[in-house]
Amino acid sequence: MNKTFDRYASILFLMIGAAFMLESFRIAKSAYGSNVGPNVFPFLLGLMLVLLSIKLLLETLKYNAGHLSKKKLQYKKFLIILAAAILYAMLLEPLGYVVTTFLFLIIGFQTMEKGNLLRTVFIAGAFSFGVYYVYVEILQGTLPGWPVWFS
Amino acid sequence: MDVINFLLDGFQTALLPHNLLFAFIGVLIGTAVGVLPGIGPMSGVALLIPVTASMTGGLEPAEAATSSIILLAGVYYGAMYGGSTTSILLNTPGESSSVVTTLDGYQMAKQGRAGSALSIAAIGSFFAGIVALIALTLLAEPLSEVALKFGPAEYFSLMLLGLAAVSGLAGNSMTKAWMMTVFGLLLSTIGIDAVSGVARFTYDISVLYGGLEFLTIAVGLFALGEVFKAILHKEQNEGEVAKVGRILPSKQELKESSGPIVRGSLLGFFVGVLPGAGATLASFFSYILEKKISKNPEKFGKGAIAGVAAPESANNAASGGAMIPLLTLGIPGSGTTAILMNGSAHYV
Repeated sequence: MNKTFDRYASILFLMIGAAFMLESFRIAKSAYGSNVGPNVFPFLLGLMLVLLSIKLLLETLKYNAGHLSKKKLQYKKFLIILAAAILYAMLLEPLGYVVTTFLFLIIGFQTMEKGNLLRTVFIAGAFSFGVYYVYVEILQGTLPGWPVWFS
Repeated sequence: MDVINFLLDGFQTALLPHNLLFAFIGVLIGTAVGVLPGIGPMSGVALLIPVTASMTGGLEPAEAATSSIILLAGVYYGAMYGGSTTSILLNTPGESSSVVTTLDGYQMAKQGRAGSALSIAAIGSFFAGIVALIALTLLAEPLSEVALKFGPAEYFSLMLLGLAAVSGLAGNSMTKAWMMTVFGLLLSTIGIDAVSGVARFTYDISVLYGGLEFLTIAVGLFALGEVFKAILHKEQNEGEVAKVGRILPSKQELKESSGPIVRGSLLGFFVGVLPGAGATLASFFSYILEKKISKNPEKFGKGAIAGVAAPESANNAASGGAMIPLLTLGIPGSGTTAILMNGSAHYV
């Protein structure tokens, strides 16, 4: 278990729980024929999340700091791929599946392992066209295929 | 006997050529999914639900539903079995329920007995599947009669038990498991409240009125989480591929593993029936049981075939057992059956 990570996670979830509690005040309090309004569950669950986060926070204080096996995490690669994934999700509809997947795969492959650009382009192209063909033509699925101005 | 008639009727449907084809495709994809580390049965089934809809599009609605469920169940069972392959050959479990198999399976592979280990895993899985099927047929009727008497209060208590069991049995930190259970419940409050019709946490964003889709969250958390973890740690896999050698187990090995397979199947089935306790737990239980009753427990961990046979049978039997609460009470016993339920709900 990672002490720092758990501590930050507990604070994050503490804030999420508190936000749910606060926001639940803006929901109507009464429901027709029932004393339990729609605001009760979010409020109670938020409270439970807050209490549990505090419990986790207290538990992190008791972790023995001895076994710090510092393994270098690849944050740079992670951030590049995370950004690429978010862009991928946002551009999927305007640009279409084939183009975005092709670009995303090239970025992904090159970040994970730098090297042969030609092979990357070939694999990414084959994958994006292949999956599109199998999914849309053979399995009759729906995907935004190409940019609107292209097809 | 009605039960026998229904069973035969089921076989009649399942043995139709196109359904056999769907089962084959499902098991093939499932095994492939199980072999790949990171994509467990859960994400495999989740990813394939939309595909089943279009694959079975040409059939009558009722037939399409049957075929889709057959396909998805095939993926589920295939993935349960496929996980053992990499456990034995590479010391890398394909999914959590075959973690125990690595203990003895990889040792066997190192001794050049990988073939026997693989075939025993297959035989055990097959036998356990049959046991689970028969028990499922016999137990489903009495249980569904109980289910008809269930009212809101009983369902509430059962759900609570399920949530408590899932959080209590999960991982090494119970606090974290509880936090995630509560967080999941909180996420489910987004959208229109089913009781009062009040929109909660929607902030006038129209997509949020329908609530968050269960599949989206499942794929996002499990698949993306695994991918990000792989990037951050960038595991260098140094395992060597072991030689498979002879594929059929020897008579001696068959004799040694028949007991563990039977015990593993029965134990796995009953553990699978309990909500929350899934295949992973069943495989651990059966391994511990075999080690306890074995005449020479020191052989375990050094390539004992019972250590492969028992957990592999148990995890397959558990996946059959998990079907009982799903089909009779509508309560999923594990993550994968929850997704299966979501898939069947599309067709009902």
